[in-house]
Amino acid sequence: MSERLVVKELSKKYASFLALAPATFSLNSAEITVLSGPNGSGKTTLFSCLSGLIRQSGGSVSVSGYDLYRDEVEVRRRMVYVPDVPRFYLELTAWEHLRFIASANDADKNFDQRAQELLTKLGLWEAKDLFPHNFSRGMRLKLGLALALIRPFEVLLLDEPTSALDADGVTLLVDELSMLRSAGATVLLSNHDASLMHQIGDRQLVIHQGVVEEA
Amino acid sequence: MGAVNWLRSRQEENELSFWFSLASYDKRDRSWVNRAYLVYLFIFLSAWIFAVLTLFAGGGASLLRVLDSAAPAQAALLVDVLLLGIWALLKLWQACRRSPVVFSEQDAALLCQTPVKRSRVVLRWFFMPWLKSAVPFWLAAVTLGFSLAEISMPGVIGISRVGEYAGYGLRAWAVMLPLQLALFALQWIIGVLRLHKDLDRDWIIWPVLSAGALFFAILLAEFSTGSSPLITAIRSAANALLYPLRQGFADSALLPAVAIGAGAALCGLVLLSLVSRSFSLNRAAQETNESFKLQSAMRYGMVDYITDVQTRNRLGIMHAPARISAFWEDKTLIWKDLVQTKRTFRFIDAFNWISIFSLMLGVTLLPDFGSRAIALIIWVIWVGRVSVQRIRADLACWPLIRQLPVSPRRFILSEMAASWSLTAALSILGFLIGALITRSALIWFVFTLPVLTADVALISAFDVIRRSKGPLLLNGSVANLGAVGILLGILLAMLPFLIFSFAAVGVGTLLALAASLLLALLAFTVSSNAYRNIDVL
Repeated sequence: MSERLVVKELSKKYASFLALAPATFSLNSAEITVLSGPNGSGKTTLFSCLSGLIRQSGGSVSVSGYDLYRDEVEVRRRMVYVPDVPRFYLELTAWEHLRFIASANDADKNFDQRAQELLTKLGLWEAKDLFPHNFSRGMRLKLGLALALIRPFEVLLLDEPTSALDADGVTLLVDELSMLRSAGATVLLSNHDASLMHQIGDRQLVIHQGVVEEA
Repeated sequence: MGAVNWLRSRQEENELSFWFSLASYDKRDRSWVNRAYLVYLFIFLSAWIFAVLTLFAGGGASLLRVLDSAAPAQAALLVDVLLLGIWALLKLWQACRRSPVVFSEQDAALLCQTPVKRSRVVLRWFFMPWLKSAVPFWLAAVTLGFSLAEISMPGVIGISRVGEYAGYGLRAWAVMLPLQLALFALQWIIGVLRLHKDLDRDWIIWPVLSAGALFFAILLAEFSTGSSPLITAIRSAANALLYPLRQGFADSALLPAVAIGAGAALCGLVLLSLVSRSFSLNRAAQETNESFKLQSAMRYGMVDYITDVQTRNRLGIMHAPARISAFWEDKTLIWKDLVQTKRTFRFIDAFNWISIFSLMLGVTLLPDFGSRAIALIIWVIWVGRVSVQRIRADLACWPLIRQLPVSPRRFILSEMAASWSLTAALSILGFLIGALITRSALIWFVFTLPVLTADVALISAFDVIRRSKGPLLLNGSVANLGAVGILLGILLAMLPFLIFSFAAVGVGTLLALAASLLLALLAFTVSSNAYRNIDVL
């Protein structure tokens, strides 16, 4: 196992409010880490900073040796983030979203077959030509997952992936994550309760009032 | 009823507070200064509205003379009938498709689930929408009355005759008030009847279509010169129907007309109360939830939200997949933009493109530098607004777009490519046509135009990115093009234009092109840097 995602003194402030205290940790390849913490503890802020969707106030993030901001394109090729409430284009159908993300990530090879398998597995095949704004929250989350899984990556960040999934969906997610671990991927996911940690977690990080600690 | 009345009063108070806030009046401030300001506001607005209506009355008088110089009162009646008739028919048609009683999401979840008396809810919900719909008709009636006064009272109207002048307006208003109320009640009766318990009363459309046919028959009979028994009968019926309105513009007694109108309004309200006893609040809430949201969004200027909802409605549920060929593999962002643009195109969007073409045509057709500069400035604003549409839509999907393995430079180029090609092509076309018509030396500026368009597009994109912040983008909230972006765009466009206008043709062309290229490079660099450091700036 090698260090895949290295976080050094990562912090985020909103004016004088410290949303994320300086955090230092690293995640290894073929490892699933569960981040747990109560509502408002800073989980989403941490994910947003790790994925570069909001700029951190201090510290650095690197993926396989590439800095999140200095080598942004390289990091984007290697890391993918699925937010708890994914947003989609109004004008593209579920299938077209997959097509767009696959093409933008140079993952066009066997696209039709891979997309069909993925959507079928996630129970979205029948809804492939629907616009995602007609989807339920669970379906939106599954499409967000599909968009992550249709492209190659080394690090997968999942914010509250089970929050809108039914029991079958959670089982499916657990299976999928186990397969990704076997393939060498690094996974960081957040969760309210400890059940997911017991099922698949290799490591646990705890966040409380913006402070990240090893459990 | 107490709770319903209290709830509705609060909603009405909130709405009034919004309108007051536009005039900087805070209802909560109970100081005497604030009360004095309210009195001042009332006096000022009354005087201002009176002055504006008298101003419009001058134009109104000319219109009435054109319509019927021998009998301007008849022409005023015709305008009144057309306004009321067309509005009533449109609203009746709407009432056949969507409930006229509009409920908010909160009303739907709370009020509509309670066993309150339906008729009381309907009557309590009636006042505010009626008032909002009535004001334009009151103003139109008073203006028509003033227009008649302008014709009947030639010469300068001194202070001693202001009362007489105002009397014309008041007469027209006094008749319009109850009649418009009666018609509004009729629309609600139709809408409420349609949503009777769980029944689908599709037949409700037929009385409305019949009313439409009657209206047009009256109009035809009025304009017809024939004297067949049918036409005579329709004219007689129309005369009887229009008696109250006619009295608003006549010299004879007003009271009977007002009494008839008031009687009609009262009958309408009583009938509405009767038919609304079995009105389905839930069905009305289901139908109007979205329109309530849109109305609220419109009031607060939430254009993006309104566009989003309209786009969703237009797109529907599903669509066959758009083809993507090998050609697009390294141009995925452009492919996506084209698919999105194709699916959301409305004919009204063509207005933007026509404006860009016309403004550039104007630059060449206008005679002097000053007016050309003004046309160019308006063109900059238009190009800026159109150019940032796609990048704003993409930034609204921040988690998707930010995670693409695309460098900031490539992102900016891809985002601007489609709109730039069209804007530049239309601008060049307008410019060439104008320059060829006028055989102007300006034609040489055409070489600078594509770069100039890029300057404006890129600097507008820079402004949008500069003003957008990561945490807000995560919620889909993207900044709009601001004043700084527009000013920078004007600066970037005017500089090459000034150089071209005040230098010799050959040198001017080369210098303007060189300046444009430099500015485009600068705008491209700052916009891609702004995207790279989107939360830092």
